[in-house]
Amino acid sequence: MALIETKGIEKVFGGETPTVALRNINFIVDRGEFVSIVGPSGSGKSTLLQILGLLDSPTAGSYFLDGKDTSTLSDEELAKLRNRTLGFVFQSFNLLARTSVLENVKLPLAYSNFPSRSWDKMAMAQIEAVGLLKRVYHEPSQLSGGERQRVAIARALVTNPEIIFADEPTGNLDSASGKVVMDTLTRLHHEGKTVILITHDRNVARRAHRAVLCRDGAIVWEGDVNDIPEIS
Amino acid sequence: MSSFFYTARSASRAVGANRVRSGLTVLGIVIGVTSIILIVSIGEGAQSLILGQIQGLGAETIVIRPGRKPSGPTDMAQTLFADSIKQREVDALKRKENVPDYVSSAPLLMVSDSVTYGSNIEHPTIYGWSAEFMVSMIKAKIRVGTIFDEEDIKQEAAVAVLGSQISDDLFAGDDPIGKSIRIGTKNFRVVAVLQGGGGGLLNTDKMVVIPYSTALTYLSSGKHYNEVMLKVSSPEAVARSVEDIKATLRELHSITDPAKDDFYVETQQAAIDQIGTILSVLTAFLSAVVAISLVVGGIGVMNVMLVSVTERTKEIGLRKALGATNSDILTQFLLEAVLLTMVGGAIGIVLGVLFGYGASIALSQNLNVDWAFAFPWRAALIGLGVSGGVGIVFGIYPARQASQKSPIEALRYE
Repeated sequence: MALIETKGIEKVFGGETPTVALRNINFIVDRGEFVSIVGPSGSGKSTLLQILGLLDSPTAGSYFLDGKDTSTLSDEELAKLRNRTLGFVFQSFNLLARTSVLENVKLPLAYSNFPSRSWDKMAMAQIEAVGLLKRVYHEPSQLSGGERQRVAIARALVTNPEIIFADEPTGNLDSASGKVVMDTLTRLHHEGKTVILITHDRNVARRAHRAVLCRDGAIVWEGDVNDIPEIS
Repeated sequence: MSSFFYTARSASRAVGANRVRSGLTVLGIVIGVTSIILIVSIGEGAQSLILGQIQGLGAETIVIRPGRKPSGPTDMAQTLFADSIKQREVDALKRKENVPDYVSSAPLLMVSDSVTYGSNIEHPTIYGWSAEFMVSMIKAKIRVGTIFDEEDIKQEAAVAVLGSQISDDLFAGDDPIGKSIRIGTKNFRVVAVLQGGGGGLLNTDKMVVIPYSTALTYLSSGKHYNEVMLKVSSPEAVARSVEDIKATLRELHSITDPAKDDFYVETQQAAIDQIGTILSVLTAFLSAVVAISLVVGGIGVMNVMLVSVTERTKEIGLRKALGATNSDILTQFLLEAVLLTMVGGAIGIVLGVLFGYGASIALSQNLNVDWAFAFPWRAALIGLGVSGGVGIVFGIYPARQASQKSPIEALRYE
């Protein structure tokens, strides 16, 4: 059974002139896959990731996560899934300012059922895994862009989720830092995580095993990462 | 539960992150709670002082005054000039067949005159009274000399007991005992001086006590007393003795309709109840005024919380993306509001207690009374509870606004 399956998903943003962001998206991701969603700006790839990440809901169509129709889930159940099954890495890091690396990484644990006495240990393990043990008590403003993104990855992993969503994770980074972040995502994939990566950079997308190309809100191509067509 | 503590810690960090703003936000609450504590602590101090002084007169003391019971300041004059209590009434009340629980009594007569010694003139409060009754009742201490006794009263002796300040003012360091002072047209020999600082409700420092018989004969235009203080055997005997006294005086004055009584009787308990009620009403009224400042403070908190929710929209989105439920966000922002107002309340309690303590010292020194300061526990708990309540009432709307934000809308917010 597919871990992620969408059937005819559509997303229309309201307003005086409704905008169709996604149309008829049929998309399947199996457990343990590393998939890149590529496309130019405005192609709908981020909207798709937000729906897959349960941050937004589709206007039409169905989204099955691990076989469960997500449209039937309550807000609390969706929050629990976001906490325990999904991990997010954002382009703009989204770390809490004036809050230490340790506290940032612990944040998802506050909404989990893990006992609080284990929080520090769990967070420290992830901080160590991204190589930031010496920065544990630093605040985001004292870190480089690459370090901030690694904190965000540690935070995404702290509840040991099955799926990692990375939305342009290298978008705000120099190439060296970007490489470290992509190496980390590759390692996670090797450790058995399902990784879904959004990017407009074909070179970054090639770190995955499979790619889909979005254009004008639809999936227009799907195939091997080495065959990704010209994006723009 | 662990996540609740984490949320509480996050809330305290958020409040602490903007100290100046938080401080200014809770100023209204601080002022409100400070005022509550101050009002209640001064109110309770006044109550315990007044009640203590009234109780000091003894629960078994009954006061009989001429005229109707005054229901307002304008009635006071008729009480002063009413002449229904004379020696005949005093003697009747002393008889055991009339008032079986009678122990002792003393009439009291106020003399409005000046006191002169040499070229020094003073205007003290002059009481025609029994010095022994006065000393036992208000527990006055004698600095020097011997107070006059029943024999002096019987003889209408021209003797006087002076309050400490009057003695100092008149004699300026000289030994007053045996010296002659003039009250009105009559000379009196000073037999004793009271110690300073006593007396409570009666300012004994500025009073002169002479035998009531002497005052009645030589210094009073009428032949009536202003009041009679009567002691009965026990506090339990007070109620029936009041009825005995009323019956005795009505019979003496041939009054059949109690509505036409030309005297009235007061007990210490009635005075205690009355003053307790007045002070409670006053405290409640002032507290209601203070509540307005708490409402204003609450509106300030709500305003700042709404600003904070808008400023932290992205953080709300992030928390939701990481698994926070609507109720987690609601709890966090509500805790922030409650923490803010309760910190304000706690500061208010500390300031209120400090000001209350300062006020008790100032009042003790200026009024020359023993104004006790007691930590107003009840008011402090109420203050803390009310400030927490203000946080809930005025924090719930911003917290709901925060909790109902869609995660993706919030994450996209710039």
